[in-house]
Amino acid sequence: MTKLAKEGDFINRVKAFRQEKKLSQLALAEAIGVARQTINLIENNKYNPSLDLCIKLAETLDTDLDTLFWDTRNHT
Amino acid sequence: MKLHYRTLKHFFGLEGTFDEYRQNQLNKWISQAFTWIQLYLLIMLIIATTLQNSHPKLLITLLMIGNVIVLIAPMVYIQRKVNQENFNVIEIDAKNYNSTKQTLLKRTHFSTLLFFIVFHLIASWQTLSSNGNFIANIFSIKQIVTSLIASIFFWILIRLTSLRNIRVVVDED
Repeated sequence: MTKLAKEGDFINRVKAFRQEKKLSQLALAEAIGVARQTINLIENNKYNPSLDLCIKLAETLDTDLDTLFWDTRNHT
Repeated sequence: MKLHYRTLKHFFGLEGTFDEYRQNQLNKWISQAFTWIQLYLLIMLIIATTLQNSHPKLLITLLMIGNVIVLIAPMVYIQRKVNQENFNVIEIDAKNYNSTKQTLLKRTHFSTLLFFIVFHLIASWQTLSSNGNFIANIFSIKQIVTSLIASIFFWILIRLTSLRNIRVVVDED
């Protein structure tokens, strides 16, 4: 049974993928059309982005939603 | 961007991309302000019902003061939140600093020009009682000098505010 992630305890790998692609927060934000602060909030799990934004993030970081957002510790 | 959000962005002086997070936050603050306005209306309705016959003049004074507060307070509240969340900060790379300063200078000139026109027209209209000719007021040297001085102060204020809001960013962890 899947457990719904609460705001604040959800782990995403946006920062790791961004650093791997050698992008700054500002560059990533400009690439997907959001403010840099929003990228910072997403990376620090302070904001849960919409599905639309998640897809844009995954596309820009050349990965898929599962890899970027699926937390295997909480979901079996 | 929808006209609704474009208007809000300019009204509250938001800088940068007005993305989903910012739209959500602004909607939340507006809803909170609306809840307080509803509460004010409820309280004022009770007061008006109670005082309408015994103290009508007091009631009108209360309504006028209350309405002014209710008109200004939500704007101050939302502006404070905008400042707290740094939505009015212009985030740039170090290499774009000078070009951004130039762009902001042009914006300041344009805003000051608008301010001068609006201020001058309103001030000329307001002094109608002392000098009955609106056109004469517009071309009055005294009025023009007053508007120019006000515009210079406006220019300084906007310039300082916009320069303060430029921030060269580095990634936050």
